[in-house]
Amino acid sequence: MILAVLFFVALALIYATLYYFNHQTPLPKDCENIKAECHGCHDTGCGNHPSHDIKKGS
Amino acid sequence: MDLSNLFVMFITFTLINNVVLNQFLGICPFMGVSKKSSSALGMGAAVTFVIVAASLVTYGLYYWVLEPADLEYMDLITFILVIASLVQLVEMIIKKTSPGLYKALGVYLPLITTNCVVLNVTLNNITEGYNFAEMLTYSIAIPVGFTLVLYIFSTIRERLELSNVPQAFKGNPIALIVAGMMALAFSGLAGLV
Repeated sequence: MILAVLFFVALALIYATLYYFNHQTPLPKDCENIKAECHGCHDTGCGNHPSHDIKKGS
Repeated sequence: MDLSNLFVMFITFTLINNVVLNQFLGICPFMGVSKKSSSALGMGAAVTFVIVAASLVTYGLYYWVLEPADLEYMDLITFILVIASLVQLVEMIIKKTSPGLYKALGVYLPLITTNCVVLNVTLNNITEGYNFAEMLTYSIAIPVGFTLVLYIFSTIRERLELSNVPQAFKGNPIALIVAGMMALAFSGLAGLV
Protein backbone atom coordinates (compact mmCIF):
# COMPACT_ATOMS: atom_id res chain seq x y z
CA MET A 1 0.00 0.00 0.00
CA ILE A 2 2.76 2.42 0.99
CA LEU A 3 4.66 1.50 -2.15
CA ALA A 4 1.58 2.31 -4.26
CA VAL A 5 1.18 5.71 -2.59
CA LEU A 6 4.88 6.49 -3.00
CA PHE A 7 4.73 5.43 -6.64
CA PHE A 8 1.70 7.65 -7.25
CA VAL A 9 3.36 10.61 -5.51
CA ALA A 10 6.52 10.11 -7.57
CA LEU A 11 4.53 10.11 -10.83
CA ALA A 12 2.55 13.17 -9.75
CA LEU A 13 5.79 14.99 -8.90
CA ILE A 14 7.26 14.11 -12.29
CA TYR A 15 4.12 15.44 -13.99
CA ALA A 16 4.13 18.64 -11.90
CA THR A 17 7.82 19.22 -12.68
CA LEU A 18 7.37 18.71 -16.40
CA TYR A 19 4.27 20.95 -16.37
CA TYR A 20 6.22 23.69 -14.62
CA PHE A 21 9.20 23.48 -16.98
CA ASN A 22 6.92 23.35 -20.02
CA HIS A 23 5.20 26.56 -18.99
CA GLN A 24 8.54 28.19 -18.24
CA THR A 25 9.73 27.35 -21.77
CA PRO A 26 9.14 30.40 -23.99
CA LEU A 27 7.00 29.99 -27.09
CA PRO A 28 8.90 30.06 -30.40
CA LYS A 29 8.80 33.23 -32.47
CA ASP A 30 5.48 33.77 -34.36
CA CYS A 31 3.75 31.13 -32.23
CA GLU A 32 2.39 33.43 -29.54
CA ASN A 33 -1.16 33.60 -30.85
CA ILE A 34 -1.77 30.26 -32.52
CA LYS A 35 -5.03 28.54 -31.69
CA ALA A 36 -6.61 25.26 -32.70
CA GLU A 37 -9.23 25.60 -35.44
CA CYS A 38 -12.35 26.18 -33.41
CA HIS A 39 -15.64 27.78 -34.29
CA GLY A 40 -17.04 27.32 -30.79
CA CYS A 41 -19.17 24.54 -29.39
CA HIS A 42 -21.24 24.55 -26.19
CA ASP A 43 -18.21 23.91 -23.98
CA THR A 44 -17.26 27.49 -23.06
CA GLY A 45 -14.91 26.15 -20.40
CA CYS A 46 -12.48 24.99 -23.12
CA GLY A 47 -9.44 27.23 -23.57
CA ASN A 48 -9.83 27.23 -27.35
CA HIS A 49 -13.40 28.58 -27.32
CA PRO A 50 -13.64 31.84 -29.32
CA SER A 51 -15.40 33.58 -26.41
CA HIS A 52 -12.03 33.71 -24.62
CA ASP A 53 -10.68 35.91 -27.40
CA ILE A 54 -13.05 38.75 -26.47
CA LYS A 55 -10.99 41.43 -24.76
CA LYS A 56 -12.24 43.32 -21.73
CA GLY A 57 -13.87 46.64 -22.54
CA SER A 58 -14.25 45.91 -26.24
CA MET B 1 7.26 -13.03 -34.84
CA ASP B 2 5.12 -13.78 -37.91
CA LEU B 3 5.14 -10.83 -40.28
CA SER B 4 1.96 -11.91 -42.04
CA ASN B 5 0.12 -11.91 -38.70
CA LEU B 6 1.43 -8.45 -37.94
CA PHE B 7 0.32 -7.24 -41.36
CA VAL B 8 -3.17 -8.67 -40.84
CA MET B 9 -3.23 -7.03 -37.41
CA PHE B 10 -2.29 -3.69 -38.98
CA ILE B 11 -5.05 -3.89 -41.60
CA THR B 12 -7.57 -5.03 -38.99
CA PHE B 13 -7.00 -2.14 -36.60
CA THR B 14 -6.60 0.48 -39.31
CA LEU B 15 -9.68 -0.31 -41.35
CA ILE B 16 -11.90 -3.03 -39.90
CA ASN B 17 -11.79 -2.35 -36.16
CA ASN B 18 -11.28 1.34 -36.74
CA VAL B 19 -10.96 3.19 -33.44
CA VAL B 20 -13.42 5.97 -34.41
CA LEU B 21 -15.99 4.29 -36.65
CA ASN B 22 -16.09 0.85 -35.03
CA GLN B 23 -14.97 1.34 -31.43
CA PHE B 24 -16.49 4.87 -31.14
CA LEU B 25 -13.49 6.36 -29.37
CA GLY B 26 -11.89 9.73 -30.08
CA ILE B 27 -15.21 11.24 -31.18
CA CYS B 28 -14.37 14.60 -29.60
CA PRO B 29 -11.36 15.41 -31.82
CA PHE B 30 -13.12 13.64 -34.69
CA MET B 31 -15.93 16.21 -34.56
CA GLY B 32 -13.90 19.17 -33.29
CA VAL B 33 -10.76 19.14 -35.45
CA SER B 34 -12.20 18.03 -38.77
CA LYS B 35 -13.43 21.27 -40.31
CA LYS B 36 -10.22 21.72 -42.27
CA SER B 37 -8.13 18.94 -43.78
CA SER B 38 -4.86 20.66 -42.81
CA SER B 39 -5.80 20.69 -39.14
CA ALA B 40 -7.02 17.09 -39.41
CA LEU B 41 -3.63 15.98 -40.70
CA GLY B 42 -1.86 17.96 -37.97
CA MET B 43 -4.01 16.37 -35.28
CA GLY B 44 -3.50 12.91 -36.78
CA ALA B 45 0.26 13.31 -36.85
CA ALA B 46 0.34 14.52 -33.26
CA VAL B 47 -1.89 11.65 -32.07
CA THR B 48 0.27 9.10 -33.90
CA PHE B 49 3.43 10.40 -32.29
CA VAL B 50 1.97 10.54 -28.78
CA ILE B 51 0.33 7.10 -28.97
CA VAL B 52 3.50 5.36 -30.15
CA ALA B 53 5.64 7.09 -27.52
CA ALA B 54 3.08 6.51 -24.75
CA SER B 55 2.72 2.84 -25.70
CA LEU B 56 6.46 2.25 -25.51
CA VAL B 57 6.78 3.96 -22.13
CA THR B 58 3.69 2.43 -20.51
CA TYR B 59 4.47 -1.07 -21.86
CA GLY B 60 7.93 -0.96 -20.34
CA LEU B 61 6.67 0.59 -17.13
CA TYR B 62 4.03 -2.12 -16.66
CA TYR B 63 6.26 -5.14 -17.25
CA TRP B 64 9.42 -3.77 -15.60
CA VAL B 65 7.97 -1.83 -12.65
CA LEU B 66 4.30 -2.50 -11.90
CA GLU B 67 4.24 -6.26 -12.42
CA PRO B 68 7.44 -7.07 -10.42
CA ALA B 69 6.21 -4.82 -7.58
CA ASP B 70 2.69 -6.38 -7.60
CA LEU B 71 1.16 -3.01 -8.45
CA GLU B 72 -0.82 -4.09 -11.52
CA TYR B 73 -3.96 -2.42 -10.13
CA MET B 74 -2.17 0.94 -10.46
CA ASP B 75 -2.07 0.65 -14.26
CA LEU B 76 -4.93 3.09 -14.97
CA ILE B 77 -3.71 5.99 -12.83
CA THR B 78 -0.09 5.30 -13.83
CA PHE B 79 -0.86 5.39 -17.52
CA ILE B 80 -2.91 8.59 -17.19
CA LEU B 81 -0.04 10.35 -15.42
CA VAL B 82 2.54 8.97 -17.85
CA ILE B 83 0.54 10.14 -20.87
CA ALA B 84 0.03 13.61 -19.38
CA SER B 85 3.74 13.86 -18.49
CA LEU B 86 4.79 12.65 -21.91
CA VAL B 87 2.66 15.27 -23.64
CA GLN B 88 4.24 18.01 -21.49
CA LEU B 89 7.72 16.68 -22.29
CA VAL B 90 7.04 16.39 -26.01
CA GLU B 91 5.60 19.91 -26.13
CA MET B 92 8.67 21.26 -24.32
CA ILE B 93 11.07 19.49 -26.68
CA ILE B 94 9.22 20.62 -29.79
CA LYS B 95 9.12 24.23 -28.55
CA LYS B 96 12.90 24.17 -28.10
CA THR B 97 14.00 22.17 -31.12
CA SER B 98 11.51 22.77 -33.88
CA PRO B 99 9.43 25.97 -33.98
CA GLY B 100 8.01 24.96 -37.37
CA LEU B 101 6.72 21.69 -36.02
CA TYR B 102 5.31 23.48 -32.96
CA LYS B 103 3.48 25.92 -35.18
CA ALA B 104 2.01 22.99 -37.17
CA LEU B 105 0.87 20.70 -34.39
CA GLY B 106 1.93 22.05 -31.02
CA VAL B 107 -1.48 23.53 -30.35
CA TYR B 108 -3.05 20.05 -30.57
CA LEU B 109 -0.78 18.42 -28.01
CA PRO B 110 -2.71 19.50 -24.89
CA LEU B 111 -5.90 18.27 -26.58
CA ILE B 112 -4.36 14.82 -26.92
CA THR B 113 -3.85 14.48 -23.17
CA THR B 114 -7.58 13.97 -22.74
CA ASN B 115 -8.02 11.91 -25.89
CA CYS B 116 -9.42 8.54 -24.84
CA VAL B 117 -7.80 6.80 -27.81
CA VAL B 118 -4.36 7.16 -26.21
CA LEU B 119 -5.43 5.61 -22.91
CA ASN B 120 -7.35 2.87 -24.75
CA VAL B 121 -4.28 1.85 -26.74
CA THR B 122 -1.98 1.77 -23.71
CA LEU B 123 -4.46 -0.28 -21.66
CA ASN B 124 -5.22 -2.70 -24.49
CA ASN B 125 -1.52 -3.39 -24.99
CA ILE B 126 -1.61 -4.94 -21.51
CA THR B 127 -5.07 -6.54 -21.38
CA GLU B 128 -4.64 -8.24 -24.77
CA GLY B 129 -1.25 -9.61 -23.72
CA TYR B 130 0.60 -8.37 -26.80
CA ASN B 131 4.29 -9.05 -27.22
CA PHE B 132 6.56 -6.15 -28.21
CA ALA B 133 6.08 -6.50 -31.97
CA GLU B 134 2.31 -6.79 -31.64
CA MET B 135 2.24 -3.81 -29.27
CA LEU B 136 4.17 -1.71 -31.76
CA THR B 137 1.95 -2.78 -34.66
CA TYR B 138 -1.23 -2.08 -32.68
CA SER B 139 0.12 1.28 -31.49
CA ILE B 140 0.85 2.35 -35.06
CA ALA B 141 -2.28 0.90 -36.69
CA ILE B 142 -4.77 2.62 -34.38
CA PRO B 143 -3.55 6.22 -34.93
CA VAL B 144 -3.05 5.58 -38.66
CA GLY B 145 -6.71 4.51 -38.84
CA PHE B 146 -7.68 7.53 -36.74
CA THR B 147 -5.79 9.89 -39.05
CA LEU B 148 -7.22 8.29 -42.18
CA VAL B 149 -10.81 8.61 -40.99
CA LEU B 150 -10.25 12.11 -39.64
CA TYR B 151 -8.80 13.25 -42.98
CA ILE B 152 -11.59 11.68 -45.04
CA PHE B 153 -14.19 13.24 -42.75
CA SER B 154 -12.54 16.66 -42.97
CA THR B 155 -12.56 16.59 -46.79
CA ILE B 156 -16.27 15.73 -46.75
CA ARG B 157 -16.99 18.53 -44.26
CA GLU B 158 -15.09 21.02 -46.41
CA ARG B 159 -17.37 20.13 -49.33
CA LEU B 160 -20.47 20.28 -47.11
CA GLU B 161 -19.60 23.90 -46.22
CA LEU B 162 -20.13 24.79 -49.88
CA SER B 163 -23.21 22.62 -50.35
CA ASN B 164 -26.86 23.58 -50.08
CA VAL B 165 -27.61 21.92 -46.73
CA PRO B 166 -31.00 22.65 -45.08
CA GLN B 167 -30.63 25.14 -42.21
CA ALA B 168 -31.69 22.64 -39.55
CA PHE B 169 -28.96 20.22 -40.61
CA LYS B 170 -26.07 22.69 -40.98
CA GLY B 171 -22.97 22.08 -38.86
CA ASN B 172 -22.98 19.17 -36.42
CA PRO B 173 -26.24 17.43 -37.47
CA ILE B 174 -25.10 16.77 -41.03
CA ALA B 175 -21.63 15.93 -39.77
CA LEU B 176 -23.04 13.22 -37.48
CA ILE B 177 -25.12 11.81 -40.33
CA VAL B 178 -22.00 11.66 -42.49
CA ALA B 179 -20.09 9.98 -39.67
CA GLY B 180 -22.82 7.34 -39.41
CA MET B 181 -22.64 6.69 -43.14
CA MET B 182 -18.86 6.36 -42.93
CA ALA B 183 -19.26 3.85 -40.09
CA LEU B 184 -21.66 1.83 -42.26
CA ALA B 185 -19.22 1.98 -45.17
CA PHE B 186 -16.31 0.82 -43.03
CA SER B 187 -18.37 -2.01 -41.55
CA GLY B 188 -18.48 -3.42 -45.09
CA LEU B 189 -14.76 -4.16 -44.78
CA ALA B 190 -15.46 -6.75 -42.08
CA GLY B 191 -14.88 -9.73 -44.37
CA LEU B 192 -11.56 -8.41 -45.69
CA VAL B 193 -9.37 -10.52 -43.38
